[in-house]
Amino acid sequence: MRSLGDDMILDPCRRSQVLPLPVVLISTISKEGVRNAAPWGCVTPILRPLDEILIVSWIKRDTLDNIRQTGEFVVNVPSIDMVEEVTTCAKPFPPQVDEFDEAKLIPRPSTKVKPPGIEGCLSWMECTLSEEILREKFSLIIGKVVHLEVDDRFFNEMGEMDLEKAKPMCMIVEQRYTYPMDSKLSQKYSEMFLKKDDLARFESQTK
Amino acid sequence: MILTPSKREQVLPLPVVLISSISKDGIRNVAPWSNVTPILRLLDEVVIASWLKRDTLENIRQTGEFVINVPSTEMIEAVKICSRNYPSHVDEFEEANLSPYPSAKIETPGIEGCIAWMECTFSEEILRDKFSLVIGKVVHLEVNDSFVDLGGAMDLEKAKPLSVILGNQSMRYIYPA
Repeated sequence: MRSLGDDMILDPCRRSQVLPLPVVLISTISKEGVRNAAPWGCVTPILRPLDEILIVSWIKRDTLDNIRQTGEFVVNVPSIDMVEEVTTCAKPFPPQVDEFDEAKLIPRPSTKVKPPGIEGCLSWMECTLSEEILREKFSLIIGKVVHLEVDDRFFNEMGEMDLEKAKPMCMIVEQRYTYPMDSKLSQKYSEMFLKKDDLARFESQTK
Repeated sequence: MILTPSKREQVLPLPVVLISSISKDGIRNVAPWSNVTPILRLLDEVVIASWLKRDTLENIRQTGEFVINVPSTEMIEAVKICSRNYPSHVDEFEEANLSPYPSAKIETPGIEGCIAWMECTFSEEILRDKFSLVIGKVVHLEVNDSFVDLGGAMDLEKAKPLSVILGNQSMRYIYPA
């Protein structure tokens, strides 16, 4: 512990302002067939080699209701060029309003689920509901990605994104929508495993 | 093009944080983490997804606390070092040459030089077959004055908070424009 001094203390609820978050558009349909598209920042994959994804939702959200009703949703990754559409979809429309119409989004038929994706996005993760973990103020939705498709114009043949062309949307909350710059630094997955010499050095420490 | 569903981390940029924790024996651990997201903007919790066998998860279970440190692109080398599979008894602060940044409300230190520090206490673990979701409550949030304006908003040009996008054999480190 220490005495507080140099740095600024913020309210804990401002934690999302200090972290770059991805922005996705989640498309769903209600059981009556009303299409919904909602921007989402509280989303993260569940571990690299697996196939699930986690989204955090308020309890009262059309997206959540639709996922509960149909068991399906699409996670669409927009580019920064879609700021206007994202901003429109962020408005609190009543449940009967079709956000595809409001934001002039063109549906993109999905392969394995009923809700359409959104035309013009960089990639589409078609998901089925695995599990809902309901708490007092929020709900964690785990979806299984059953089909993943990317727009060939923005990816190489190995499915790696061309960042300069794609400009996937991300945000600093309360500040701006933005997109990533390449630091030109990368790391091979193989670098995450210690070399034999190092392992031996650490082994000897325990003896 | 159709990709296998597990390639979903190749299609969206993710934040990179360093999670610091200590074991019950006092060994300090630092691990880079991308599967992390705040639980709704106006609340005060965060959720991280973990493999079942991780020193970080063990430490959080043992001590009930951790710090989420937000590194800048300047710290990529340290992030790379901390990503290695060191045995549990190795102190990653020493391996990566990191200085501890004493925490205000918990025992676990943060990491000097980061942009922000979220001191967290363990709220809940949701344990599944292959992974665990750990919910932490941010009990103290501090930002590095060198990287924020007087209102606490991040100066992105200075801060360059670290993000990542994955590729086939490697990951690329990125930062918001």
